[in-house]
Amino acid sequence: MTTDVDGSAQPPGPSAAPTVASPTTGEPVKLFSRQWFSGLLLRYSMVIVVLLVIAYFSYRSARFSTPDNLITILVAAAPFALIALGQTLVILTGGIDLSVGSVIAVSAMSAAATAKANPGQVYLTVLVAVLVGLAVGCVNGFLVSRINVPPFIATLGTLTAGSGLAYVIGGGAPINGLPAEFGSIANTKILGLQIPVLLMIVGIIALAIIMKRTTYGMRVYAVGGNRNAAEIAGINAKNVLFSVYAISGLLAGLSGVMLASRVISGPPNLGQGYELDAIAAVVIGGASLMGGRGSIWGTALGLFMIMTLNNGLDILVVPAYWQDVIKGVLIVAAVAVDVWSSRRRT
Amino acid sequence: MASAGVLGVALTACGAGDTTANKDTKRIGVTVYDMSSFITAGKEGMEAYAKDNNIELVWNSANLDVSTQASQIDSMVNQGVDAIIVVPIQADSLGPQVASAKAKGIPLVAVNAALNNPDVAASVQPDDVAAGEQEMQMMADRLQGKGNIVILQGPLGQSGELDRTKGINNVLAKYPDIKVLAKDTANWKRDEAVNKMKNWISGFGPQINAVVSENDDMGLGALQALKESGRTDVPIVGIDGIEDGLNAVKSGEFIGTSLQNGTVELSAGLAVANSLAKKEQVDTKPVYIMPAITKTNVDVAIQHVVTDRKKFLEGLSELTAQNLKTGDIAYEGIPGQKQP
Amino acid sequence: MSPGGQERRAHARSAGDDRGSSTAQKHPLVRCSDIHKSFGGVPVLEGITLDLEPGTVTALAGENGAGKSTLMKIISGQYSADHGTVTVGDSTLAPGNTRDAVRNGVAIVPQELASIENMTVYENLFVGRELTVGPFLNRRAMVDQARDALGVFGVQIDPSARMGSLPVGLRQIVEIVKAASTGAQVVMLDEPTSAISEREVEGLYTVVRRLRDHGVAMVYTTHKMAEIRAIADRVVVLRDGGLILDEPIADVSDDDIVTAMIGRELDALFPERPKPTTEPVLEVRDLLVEGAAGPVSFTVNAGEIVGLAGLVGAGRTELLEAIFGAHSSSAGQVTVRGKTVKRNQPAAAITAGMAMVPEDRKLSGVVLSMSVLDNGTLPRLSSFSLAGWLRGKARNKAVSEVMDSVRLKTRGLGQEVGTLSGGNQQKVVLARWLTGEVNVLLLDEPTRGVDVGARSEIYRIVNEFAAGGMAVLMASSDMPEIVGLSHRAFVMRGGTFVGELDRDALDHPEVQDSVFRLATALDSRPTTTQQEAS
Repeated sequence: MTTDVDGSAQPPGPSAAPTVASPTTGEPVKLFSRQWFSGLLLRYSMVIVVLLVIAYFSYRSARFSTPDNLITILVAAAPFALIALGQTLVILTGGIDLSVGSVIAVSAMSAAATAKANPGQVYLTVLVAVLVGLAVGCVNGFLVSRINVPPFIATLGTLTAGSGLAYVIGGGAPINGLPAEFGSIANTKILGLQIPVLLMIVGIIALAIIMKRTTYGMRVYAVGGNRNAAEIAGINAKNVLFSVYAISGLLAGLSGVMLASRVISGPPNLGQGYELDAIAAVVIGGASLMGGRGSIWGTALGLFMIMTLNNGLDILVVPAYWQDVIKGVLIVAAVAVDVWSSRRRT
Repeated sequence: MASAGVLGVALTACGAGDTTANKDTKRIGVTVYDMSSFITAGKEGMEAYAKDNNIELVWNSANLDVSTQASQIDSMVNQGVDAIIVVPIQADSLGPQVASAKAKGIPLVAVNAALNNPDVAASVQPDDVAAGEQEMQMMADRLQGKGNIVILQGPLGQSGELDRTKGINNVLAKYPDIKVLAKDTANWKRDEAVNKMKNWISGFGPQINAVVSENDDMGLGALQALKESGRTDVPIVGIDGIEDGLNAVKSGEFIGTSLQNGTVELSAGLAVANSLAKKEQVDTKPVYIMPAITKTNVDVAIQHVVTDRKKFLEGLSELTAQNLKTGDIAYEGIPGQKQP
Repeated sequence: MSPGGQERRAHARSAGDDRGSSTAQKHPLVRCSDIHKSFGGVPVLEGITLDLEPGTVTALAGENGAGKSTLMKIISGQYSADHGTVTVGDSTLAPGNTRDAVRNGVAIVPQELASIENMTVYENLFVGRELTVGPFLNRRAMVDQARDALGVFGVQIDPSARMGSLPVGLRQIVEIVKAASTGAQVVMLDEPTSAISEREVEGLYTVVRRLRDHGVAMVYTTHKMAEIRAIADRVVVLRDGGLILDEPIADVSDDDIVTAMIGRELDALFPERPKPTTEPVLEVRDLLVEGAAGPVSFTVNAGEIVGLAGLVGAGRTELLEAIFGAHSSSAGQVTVRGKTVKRNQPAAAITAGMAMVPEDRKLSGVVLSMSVLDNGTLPRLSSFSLAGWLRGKARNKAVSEVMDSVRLKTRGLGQEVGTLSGGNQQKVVLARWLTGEVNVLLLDEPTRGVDVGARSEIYRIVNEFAAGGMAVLMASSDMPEIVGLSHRAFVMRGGTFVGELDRDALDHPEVQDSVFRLATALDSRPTTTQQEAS
């Protein structure tokens, strides 16, 4: 099929309505025209859906839209947010990190073991967890960037090895009987917010700035958008790839110790399946699994939607399996809308 | 899933490595639903019994995946083990595997959770219905027959959940003034229970008078959620009597629990399997009745489970053999248990 | 390069060209010494030694598989040579290292383009050498500098536009601008005209000349004679891994170049046209194609080859597809040998004896991952199957006969079509229709991506089809092809016919000009007409 696309701007029509760049295609459309509206709807479809969901829950339950409940949602979201942030970077490069669930378990158990052996040294446990996560992330990064193992396979391997490792650390058992101070990591409040929530907020803002306003961020998008082009431009794609997996691992390690601290326990199956929620959040937020498209704010929005759904559906006492059905339908719908609207763009 | 299966086979192979080639040694394969706190504690009991009775244990965990469990059993049948112990994930599963074990003359024993299958060679089960009734009754007494409760359930469809829920409902039927605000699964997990409970607290607020949790782990998660919301006055009851749960009973954070001493129960299951492998006569359907644990007798329980654990394990084989004869496989000398 | 050659070159270029001091330099900018490269044991480059001078345009010619792209990728650091070195100025490039090449001023615009579609134009321009203020990107500065750099080349694009929203030709220009603005001294373009339309080619040439005038050494690969003649100062021909020809453009003839490329004397590229009959085979009456400005009517007789000329977007592909039923039409009638064919149903078209060879064989012509045998059977699956099962022997025999008749070069019927050369792939697409009766052959750009040697084969095959009684309708952007192969041609614009050229008109020396004027509406004479002497 041959189409003639004119890249030059269209001259504005004789009418008074100004033209703006279309929210979807970037080409000029008249403000408040039908195309402008439909472009807006497509681009911000996810925001609209989230608003509708919030409206529905607020209508059904007065207790939903209270500040306390908002805090509940944020606290539940925090550990997922950390891994979703890491996952965003990885997916932006066209890869995927399936191992985060196991990293959470291994780092949580390492932290728990450290806490039991060194009671009172709370910072040490956090450090251990972060280093463990970073180590696994580096293994992933090495496999993907130097050995060229496809990310799906490489991280599936570390997922499996990691889940086994978690059992080895605890001798097959969860590590319980932890000192009470271990709970302070997750439960201490600064400025009225729990530490994990603060970490989540700081993490989102910091990464959003890094991704959009620094050379590192631009290079991540470049490598994901067209690795060949990035390399031709002189970018060290291997280093970029290595770094995103390392960051993902580090954040998962941090998430693991936060989770363990909240329940003051180190179960070897902690975090099992969390990678799917993280990937779902990233995809709902508009990222493309092919790489090069997506954003931190998008992921934050996607995560917020999933967490709000969990919370609202629990408040309305919808059984857990129905919740899974709803979440699954929503992910498929989000991706379908995204694919459809991107086809209209080109 | 495939890689988990490979891990399973690898574990089996590892087990095969350290055989003391003794003609009398029985090789018994084990597959459990997951390494939960309960199972992990119970494993020690099995190992103690195995050591004293010339048994080689081949241990597998199925990570809550039914097909993984099926392949693990297939692999054990192929290896020609002397008996198989299954702690199943789902009550209605593993039909072909049970049939193939039976065909090869390998006794297959369901322990701790049941299989809906008449062809299992033996079934060593806790009376989960009784446990559910017991915990609900404890709470009903505490609430004096009136109040709003929330119920945290196990994985839906697992026999443990089905039976405990049944037991809870049996007792609830007698108390029309006790209202169930919400019930849902937290899959035996502490972290899931925290979030679920927090959401319920958001939804129901001060209306919640009590928490009935089908296991201790979830009850502890609910406890954490309540603490975070600043509510310390809500009674919680659990089942299992894991270390953290017993400590919670002692401190008063739990009103009570039902002790399911994994070491005792699982070693009883092993004893039955071993007897069948040796072609001895044995009761194939012994029932483990969980003793109620409250502040009054929790100290003894803590001794057996935590503080004097080693000593307890040393005497376990003898206790198990004794229990097998009397039929009361739960007996371990907790105040309140009838001396057989 | 002999000193004598250089003198001649300088002499040839001095007429009317404004060059600056670059011609005075005798020191080569880039020197490739004895480059060897094999892939999987198959040698692709065997001992290539080549110099590139600043301020020159070198056309790197050769058939597909001759090693042109490979050589360029070795210079750019995307591949590393098995043997031999590349030096830029005084430094030897680290093999297989793109960063080193970029650092030394080597830039490449690959055939498939190296654009990051979801990023903006200015981001594409600056990726790898971003402008910053402290740790943050200085987007404003990048936008401004991008606008300036594009302006130098006479291109007006909004630097904040998404790269993917630009047409291919503009994206290519942006990439060349990017190469130039990094201060590259060597800019290599791989098959630069393969993806862009005719209109955009002139723009490309302007940019290339401008860069050359600034002292950049330009290299581009091609296998089109017209391109070589259009802007090259020097032509280098590779064949079978060796360097066959390296001469200034003024010193060689087209035949010399073609001979060097294919290694043998090329007979007339176009075979003699068969005599058309007067028996109508394909009749199209008032066919209104979706998206066309008006209906179309014409007839093609048996043995006739009718060409469809026009610019990209004129609607030629849509017309062919509509006749075949693969593109929607809302009114009109298509008849084959007197019998009406149901519109919008390719199956009906195939039953009536129509065959379609699409423009992009990779997307819609062949299944690259399937074998020659499987592709050969696809259009007529039912005739090779019995109750759903494929009849092996019958299939094999029919397909191998047909592939032989087009002189297909393969390792066997089981070879994956994706591993064949462009020309051979096209032969598979053509030949597979021969397993049944074909009355009408619809061709869309039949020799795109096919090199010179295979081209003449394709023309011979098409001619044989026509001679055998088929009616052939062919759309092509290659004017020599239209002129050489068709009996008569229509010029299309906006989905309708705006001119008809009979034999005399086609043979007229100014035919290309008049077609262009018709196609772009500079000359709106919508009915059939004789070409007037201009």
